[in-house]
Amino acid sequence: MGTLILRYLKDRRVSTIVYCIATIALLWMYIAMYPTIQQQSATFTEAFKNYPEAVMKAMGIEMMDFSHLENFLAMEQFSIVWPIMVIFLVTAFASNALSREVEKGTMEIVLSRPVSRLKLFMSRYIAGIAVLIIFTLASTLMVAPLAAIHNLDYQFGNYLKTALVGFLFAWAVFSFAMLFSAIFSEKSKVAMVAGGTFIGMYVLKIVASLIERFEWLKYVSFFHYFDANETLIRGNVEVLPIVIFAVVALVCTVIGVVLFQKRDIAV
Amino acid sequence: MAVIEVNNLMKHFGHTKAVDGISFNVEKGEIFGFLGPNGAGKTTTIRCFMDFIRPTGGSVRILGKDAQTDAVELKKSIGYLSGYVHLYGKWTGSEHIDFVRRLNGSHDRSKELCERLAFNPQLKSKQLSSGNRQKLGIILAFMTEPEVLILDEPTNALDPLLQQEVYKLLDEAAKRGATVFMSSHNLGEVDHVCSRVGIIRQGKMVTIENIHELKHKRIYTVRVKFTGTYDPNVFRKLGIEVDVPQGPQSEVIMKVKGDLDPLIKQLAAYTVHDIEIEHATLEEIFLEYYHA
Repeated sequence: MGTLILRYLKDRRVSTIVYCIATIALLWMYIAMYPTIQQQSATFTEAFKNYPEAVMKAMGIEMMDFSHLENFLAMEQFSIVWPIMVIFLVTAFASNALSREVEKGTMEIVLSRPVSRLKLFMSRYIAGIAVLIIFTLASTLMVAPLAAIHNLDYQFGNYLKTALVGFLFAWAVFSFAMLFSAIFSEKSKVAMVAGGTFIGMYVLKIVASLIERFEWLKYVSFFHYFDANETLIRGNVEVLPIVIFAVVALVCTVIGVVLFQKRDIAV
Repeated sequence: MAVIEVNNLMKHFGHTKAVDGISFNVEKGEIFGFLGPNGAGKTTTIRCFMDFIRPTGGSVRILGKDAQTDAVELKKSIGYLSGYVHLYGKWTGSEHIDFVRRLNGSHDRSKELCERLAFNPQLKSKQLSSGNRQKLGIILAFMTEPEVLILDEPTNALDPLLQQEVYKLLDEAAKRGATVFMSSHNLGEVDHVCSRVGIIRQGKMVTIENIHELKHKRIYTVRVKFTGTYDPNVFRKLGIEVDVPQGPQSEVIMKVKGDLDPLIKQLAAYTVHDIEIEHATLEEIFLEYYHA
């Protein structure tokens, strides 16, 4: 399996590096901006007071207090941008992992060799998890050196907690996308179904925050369980998100493996 | 000893019966040609052999093992070439070869094969012509010296010189005891290389025959020059296909399947200026099966 994992990681190294650089660059930009924002904190707080409450909820902005770097990053980076980046990254990775290989016919290079479908699936899955770990760590823990460069105080423990919940969120999203990659023979279908589902979840979260009688909808959205305000600002890691993400990831993985083993692969 | 045993193999896609209950064996050391028009079920059969797709019914056993349940173990002993060679565009030929070597974990003769097929493994796949892609596919199929070779159109896109080299490779493989199952559209190639052929049409096996027996099927092309008039319908009543020439040409071409005697007796009623009888070519025999 090592050959399959390493080869696939090698094939995806450029996109992984580019993604990591992009997220670090974005993080650096926000950190570099933060001292100025902090100085203008009162002005921003006043300006945001005029925003409708619904808009604030929809944007996931809970605390208009820029006295800490974590508050600023939770609002700017980790509430919307980071989850969207994760969704793009893992959906692309998952759709390339299986569907694209069926679509391009290259899967026959592997499957005509002594490699089981389970091994193929798991090698791509493990490679994906490795990329998620790299991306999550790069996009959270890089705060430490970047904040040090700008002489800013930071709560390192909160970033570790955010990395943990963020990774679990990414793992669930990845497993969900891998399930569709195991079913479909076209990469575009995976992107459409998985991407569409996540956009739908995001919309549900907004609807739930805006309309009281639909508040229950938030429970079917991954975005409800990945709450950067909770981990990054307050340093809390709740059990429910961990359980939800882990269960979704495991169930999707098992179903994906079973369906991938049963299906015809007309390469 | 049968190396490949196909028993009532069926593969249906909805209402389409791509393969509809075919059965045959391929013996050790044999080069078996698998023939049929496009859409006949050749590639579907091969995909069932390779466990890429799962049969609707029946079974395939290779080297005494089930092609589905023992697929991983079996593929240590199988060299496979697809009808269209799929490659990773960003990989070089060397990277493909190295990848296969690592997965198979056995010795290989890729270097020798690269030399024999005049293949440069340093080029990236996306830079390769269709002929060079085919060469790489052949190298990947043959490099581990497998016991069984399953080849879909092995000489696709190759020039005549390289085709000859592939025929040599097939011959060498058979001589060392490997069993070859190959599909082909090239009848000359089948005639040249295969010891036995199976012809598939609309998912059903219409015949399996020794290549020499097939060539000696009693199908004849008879060219007759009559002196004076003749009635072609007399011959048609005997079940003979008669091609009556247009214009003053006096040569009539008749296609006879089976016994020649009724034709000879009927011809005796006419004045025949010249007659030429020849066995049908392999191509004509195949076309008979295709159009049957």
